This record gives sequence, C-alpha cells and structure tokens, in this order.
Amino acid sequence: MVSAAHAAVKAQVARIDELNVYPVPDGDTGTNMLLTLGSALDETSGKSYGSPEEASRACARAALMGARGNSGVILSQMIRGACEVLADRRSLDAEAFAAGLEGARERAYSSVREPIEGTMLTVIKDAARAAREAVEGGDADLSSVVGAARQAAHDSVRRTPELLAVLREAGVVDAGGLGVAVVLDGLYACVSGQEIEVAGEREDSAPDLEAIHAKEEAWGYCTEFLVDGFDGDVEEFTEHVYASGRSVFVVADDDVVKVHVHTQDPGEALSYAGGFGRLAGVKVDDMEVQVLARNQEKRSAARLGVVAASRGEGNRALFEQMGAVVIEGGQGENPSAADLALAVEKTAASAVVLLPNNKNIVPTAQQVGELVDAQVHVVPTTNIAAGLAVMVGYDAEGEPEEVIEEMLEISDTLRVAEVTRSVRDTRLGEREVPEGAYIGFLGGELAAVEDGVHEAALVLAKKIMGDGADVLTLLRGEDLAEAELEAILDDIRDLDDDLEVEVRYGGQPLYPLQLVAE
Amino acid sequence: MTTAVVTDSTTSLAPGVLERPDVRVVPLTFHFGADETYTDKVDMSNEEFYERLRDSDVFPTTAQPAPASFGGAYEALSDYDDILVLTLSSEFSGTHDSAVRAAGMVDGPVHVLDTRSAEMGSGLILLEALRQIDEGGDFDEVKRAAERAIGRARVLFAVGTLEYLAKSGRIGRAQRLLGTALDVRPVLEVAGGEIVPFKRTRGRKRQMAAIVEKVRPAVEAGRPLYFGHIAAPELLSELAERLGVEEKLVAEIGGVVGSHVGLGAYGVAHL
Repeated sequence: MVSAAHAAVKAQVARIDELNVYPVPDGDTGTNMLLTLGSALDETSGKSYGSPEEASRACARAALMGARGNSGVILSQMIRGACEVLADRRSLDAEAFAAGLEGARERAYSSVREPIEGTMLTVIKDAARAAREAVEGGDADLSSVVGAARQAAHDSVRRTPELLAVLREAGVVDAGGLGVAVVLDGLYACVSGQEIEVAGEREDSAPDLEAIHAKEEAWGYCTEFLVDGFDGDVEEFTEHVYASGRSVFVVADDDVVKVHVHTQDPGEALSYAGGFGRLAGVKVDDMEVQVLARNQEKRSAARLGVVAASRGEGNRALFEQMGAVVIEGGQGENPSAADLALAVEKTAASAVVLLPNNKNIVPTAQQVGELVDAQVHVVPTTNIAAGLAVMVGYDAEGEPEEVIEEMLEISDTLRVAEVTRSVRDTRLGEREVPEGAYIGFLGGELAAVEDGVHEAALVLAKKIMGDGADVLTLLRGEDLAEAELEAILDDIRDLDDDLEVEVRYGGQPLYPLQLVAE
Repeated sequence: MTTAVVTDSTTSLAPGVLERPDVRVVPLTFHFGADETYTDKVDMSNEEFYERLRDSDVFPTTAQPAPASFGGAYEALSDYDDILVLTLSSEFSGTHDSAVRAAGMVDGPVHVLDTRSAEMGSGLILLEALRQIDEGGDFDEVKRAAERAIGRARVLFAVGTLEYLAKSGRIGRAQRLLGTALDVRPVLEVAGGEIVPFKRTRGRKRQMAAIVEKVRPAVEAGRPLYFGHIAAPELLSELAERLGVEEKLVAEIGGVVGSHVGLGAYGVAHL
C-alpha cells in the first residue's frame, strides 16, 4: 500500500508542485510529499515484520525521518497516526481503514499548533468522515469505503479555495490537499485493483503568482532538521522552538525529533537543538530575499502607468497583460480627450504614457495632459502593433524618465504597416482604388493596391524587409481567417530565413492585418 | 604563509585550476524529479545535461552542499596556513551558509567570502585570488584581491526564455521582465549578488546588441572577460566577434546554474 501511494504521488508530483502557493509558493509540495513517502517505501518494501505493530512502527518512523517541508511533515504524521491505529489490528478491513484515517486526522491536527482549514488537514478530515459514514451506513467492503474516502477527498480539495483566501486569489486548489487525495487514489487502486481515473474535471490550473506574491509574507529562513538520539525534555524543547519562529512543527518519535521552523535566526535554533542530540538533515532556505524583493516592487508599483487606445478583444488582452489600461477606440471610433483623461486617472499613476495607436488619435492624446494632474507623455504610435512593440519597453517600477525614454526609443525604430479594404471607388494620390480592393499602407503611405489580403501583405512585407528588419509582428484582424494568415506567413518566411516572425490574434475590425517591423 | 582556496561547483573553472593542489571544489547537486540526483559537473556531462533539459518536462531542482562537504575540503587543505572560501551568491543558494557553518566546525582559520555572483563571475573572482597567491601575496592580499574583484564583477547574460528562472524562484527583481504578451528576449545582469533586469529586447540580434553595448566599456578598458553558455557556442562566438575580442575563457555552464537559466543562455562576465 505504501508503494501504491508512492506511485500515485509520483505520477502527479509535477501537478502538485505547480499548485503550491501556501504557505510559501516555492513549488515543492509534491516533491516533499513524494520524498516523505519514498522514505517510508524504502524502509518497508520487500521486508517482512514480526507483527503488524512492528511494521507500523517502522513505517511511521521512516516517514518521519524522511519528512521534508510542511507538507511532508504533516503527511508523515498522517502515516504515523494511521500506523498507530493499524498496529493493533489483525487485518485491514473497512472499519480498520476508517479508524486509520481518523488516526491520521488526529495526528495531523495535533502536529500543527494552529490548524488552518482549506489545507491537507481539511482534506484528511473530510476523507475520514466519509469513510466512517460509509462504514456506519453498513458498507463492509474495503474497496468501496476507500473509494468513498478518496471521492470525499477530491471533493474537499475542490472546496479548499472557499476556505483559504490565498488559494482563492491565486485561483488554485491546495497542493498538499491534492497530495492527500492522490495518496488515497493510490490506496484505492491498490485495494480495488482498478486503475485510477485521471480527474476528468480539472481541479487545478496554474496559480496566479501575482496574486500570491502580493499577499504573501516574507519572513526569515525555512529551517529544517532532525535531532537524533534526543535526550531532554521534549515539552520544553517544543516550547522553545515555538517561541523562536513561525510555521513551527516539532514532531517527536522515540529519540528522534523532527523540527520545521521559519525563523530569523536559524543559527540559534540549530545550536539550541544541538544541545539535545545529534543534528541531521539540516536544511536552511532563505525565504525572505526573493519574496521581499517582489513585495517591495508591489508597494512602489505604478510609478508609471500606460493608457493604450485599441480595438479588438485580442489586442485588449495583450495590452492588459502587459500592464496597460485599455480604452476602446481606433479607426472609425476615436475616443475623446475626456475619455482618454478618464483612462489616465484609472491608472492611478503620477506619470502616464499614452499610446494612441492610430494617427487620428495622436492630436487628441496630446491634449490630455492639460486635463489631468498626472504627467502625460504621448508616444505617438500609429497602429496597434506598434503600440504593443512599444509596451515591451514598459516597466511599471522602473525610473519613469528612463522608461519613457526607452519606449520613445523603441517607437523611433519601428516601421508600421497595415492592410485594410477600400469601402468605395476612390483615388489615392496617383492610384485608382476600386471598391473592395485591399490596400496596404507603409508608414502611413499607400504602398499596395491588390485584389487580396495575401498579395497586399506580401507587397508590404517585401518593402519592409528591403529596409532591413529583425522582427516582424503581425496582428490578425477579426475578418482574417487563421488559415489564410498561415499561407501569408509561409510566403513571408520564404522571403528571409533570418527574420523572426511573431503572430498574435488582435481581433481588430477594418484591418485584417496590422504589422510592425523592428 | 600559504593560502588555499575552496569554492563551489557553480564557479566556472579556468583551465588548470582544478588540477591545483591548493584548490578544492565542493559540488552542489541537481535533481530531475525526486529519484535522480546528480553531482554538478561530475555525474553528467554537460552535453547529456543539455539533452535532458531539452527533452525533460520536469524542471530540475538544485541543492546546496552539506556543511560536511565543505568540512571535508577544509580538512584536506589543513596543511595550509589559511583557507579562503569563495561561494556562490547567498541570494541564490544556501551554499554560503553551509560553508560558514562548516568553517565553525574545523580548527584553523577559514574565511568565507560571498562572491555575490556565480559561474563566470565567480570564476573571474577566483582567478584574481589565485593570481595573488601565485604572485606570492600573503593571505590579506589574496583576500583583498578577491574582495576587490567581488566589488567589480558583473555578469551580463541573455536567456532564451525566463521560464526556468521564474520557476526556480531565483529571479528576484528580474520578475518585472515577465508579464509581456509578445516574445521578448531578456538581458539580465548579475550584480550585487542578485539577478537584476537589464533590458527586454525583441529578436536575437537586439538581445546581443544590448549586451555588447553594456559590456563594451569594460572591453575597451581591457578588463578581464569570461564567456559562458549553455548549448549556445555559436551565439557566444558571435558575441565575442561583435565585442572585437578573442574568447580566451569560455565556460560551459553546469547543471546547477543551467537548471535555473535554461538552454540557449549565453553571456559574459567582466571585472
């Protein structure tokens, strides 16, 4: 059974790591739980013991010796609690299993001074309850009771975000909790002989690190060690460790004491503990450095904001992802200076870069500075693709003047082009343009009149490359099919092997393609 | 007065350094999943490592050496009057802590310095210390040379993706290079012990141009350079060419640092 649980966690370790946001988003919960089970597995596999009691003791001790991290320590306590119960049993039946889970729950809760719900504690509690209810409901079949427990565990995992705000904000379920459910999956597979069904319904998705880092507390060194051959008063020792830091676990088993503490002074903790026995498995990680840096950035955020005028849902998402406030507006739908001013205020920054992304909006944008308190700097981008290219230089926490200069510098190196469609028979400069023709502009000048998007795009691409370009970015408009764009891209790539081509769905109306070359 | 030097395996070693009797290198380890543990630059060839990195969907993790590993190195050098220890930046790893803790457990003077750098950066710092030793400097002179180099060392490097650094949690302030919706090719700097953002660029050429621009003053001043890469020798040659220098020192970055910066990274350290 230990082997089955180990195999189940191993199969899911990456997924559990990915979810790890609480208490510290260091992405190692799955690994820690796996190493803990691995230790129990190494001890028990292929061995035979004189009695259930002896086997249980050996397994519990090995798990404790191998426990790593918060989640590993709690898991080791669950194993220990279950083993203590099972040591007295002759066989593993439905009732014994339910009692084992209750033992696991007891040990897990009592290993933590302040139990937090929405974590692996809640999951083992719900699983134990489901197992007990199944047994009391008259179910004597071991595999169906294990099945009920694993089902309840997964349901409980899905509810963890309701109980723990940091999970909710990150949009994930609890990693340790999922680990417990996966262990039960392994046990179920073992007793029922059935394959574990891979969760059809995804419980998880990658965490939103922004949300977590904004929330998270940076504090001290994560310090873990074992005191082997412990000689002294465990109570007194425990009190001392609790007083010295946070996220404390002290777990004693015979003469081995496992300690996990987040402390400002790992040296003190180690030398104190060294007085009680031989130290082993010492691990000290500085949690403060990275986290503090991130948080400081957060607090000083929005020294510089960006407002981008844009059309199309794809473009909006791209700008927002890079930190701009988007105002709907562009060709055929120009925003007013008041609209832009409102968006500038929305950034809540004292200096704001305005990206008009259309030549008709540039003059309006230049008026906005007079309407708001913030310092407004217009980077006169003339299409949406150019606006996105300029965003690459944006750094919300950088020195505003330097960032603005960087954005202006990028803007100066850009070549913009777009393909649109003539809405009537007309004359542009020297050229007759029939209604429905595809026309291409390069740097605002008419450069192509063709029957199709493809042809117009190629004419533009050739001209752009003639001037020299390293990177070409294309934004697909709402009227251009993906397959058609693929065909255009094939031809563009044939023109120049060295060119790096990047494509995004912009969804802008009127322009099947907008291009920017750098 | 004799001085020996201990460093960790994340320091790039110039040819001949490893063979010196007065130098010991303490390895870090890296891991693919929970089952596979490798000693940095020992258990797996760089080529093999790069291949694993390319093919594996598991991100490798890394671990600092135990104090005992440092202790062993100190004891092996107990014939020397002084031992200078140069470790990977303590912002990246607990290696420095291990070295310090081990220093407290042995007799004899062991002085641990945090290089505030890694790979080519700490490689140059190590070379400065060794040069001082070879010139017959006493311990204080050796230590001062190392400290001076620590104060000057900068590493500029380009990564193909920020994914590895982001996953590894070693990204610090360079976090702000993330969050872009277009493909960017970031240039990062190791300065003051941490990874700081230098520039977001678009396209390989501009990425390299940003490094060239930043490093050129050091090149013109004739400062020592140390190039390094992870499976990107051609890019490195191109960089050297654009800087107008020969690649005298080139490091193939090992598994531990490689686990954090990913394939295709390249750069140059200078003092």
